[in-house]
Amino acid sequence: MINKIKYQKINVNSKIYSLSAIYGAAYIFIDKAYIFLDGDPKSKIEVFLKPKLEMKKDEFNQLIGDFKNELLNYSLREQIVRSNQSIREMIIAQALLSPLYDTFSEFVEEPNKDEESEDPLGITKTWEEHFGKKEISKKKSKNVKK
Amino acid sequence: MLKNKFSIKFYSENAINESIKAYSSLGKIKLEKQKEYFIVYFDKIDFNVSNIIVDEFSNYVLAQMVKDKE
Repeated sequence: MINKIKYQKINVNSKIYSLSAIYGAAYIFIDKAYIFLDGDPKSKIEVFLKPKLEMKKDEFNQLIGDFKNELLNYSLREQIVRSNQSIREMIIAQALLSPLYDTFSEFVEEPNKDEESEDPLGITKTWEEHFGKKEISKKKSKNVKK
Repeated sequence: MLKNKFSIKFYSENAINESIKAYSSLGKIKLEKQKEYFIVYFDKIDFNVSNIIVDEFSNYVLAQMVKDKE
């Protein structure tokens, strides 16, 4: 059993793992182990772990491995948060502004549905409907004379 | 008398003071600020918790740090 021995030290490179990731991972393990931080946040961070309950050496090594995995997990989450920041801000802005849009929408003129259903460019009209039969026949007769 | 030292680079004075308040019913806990460390002294600690109070206290300070950063 290992819980009577002193803290086991884990050296964490602060250039790879941020301090906030270390705090986050440590917080996850606070119910399983006693955790203590020391060292220099700019170069090498020392994380000291000691199991709360009695456990075998293998189990404690497993706990240390799990802590390292959690550290990686937190770092990845931070990276995702950073890369999605602009999208999240847009979604929040949209969510905050949508009630304002509902308030002022009554002052904004809604487009007439009948007009929308019409054909403003006359795409559906035939050539004859656009220019008429007579005009075409006049042009044709002029060309023949020439 | 038990004592524990917390690096000022990782632990804030506010988090330690909050923890001292929370643990004050278990004994006399005093904070002393040194150059790079906060030294916490534990005196007249409840016999039932005397073997774990230092470790539990450091976990509590860590939790306070995370809480403060949220």
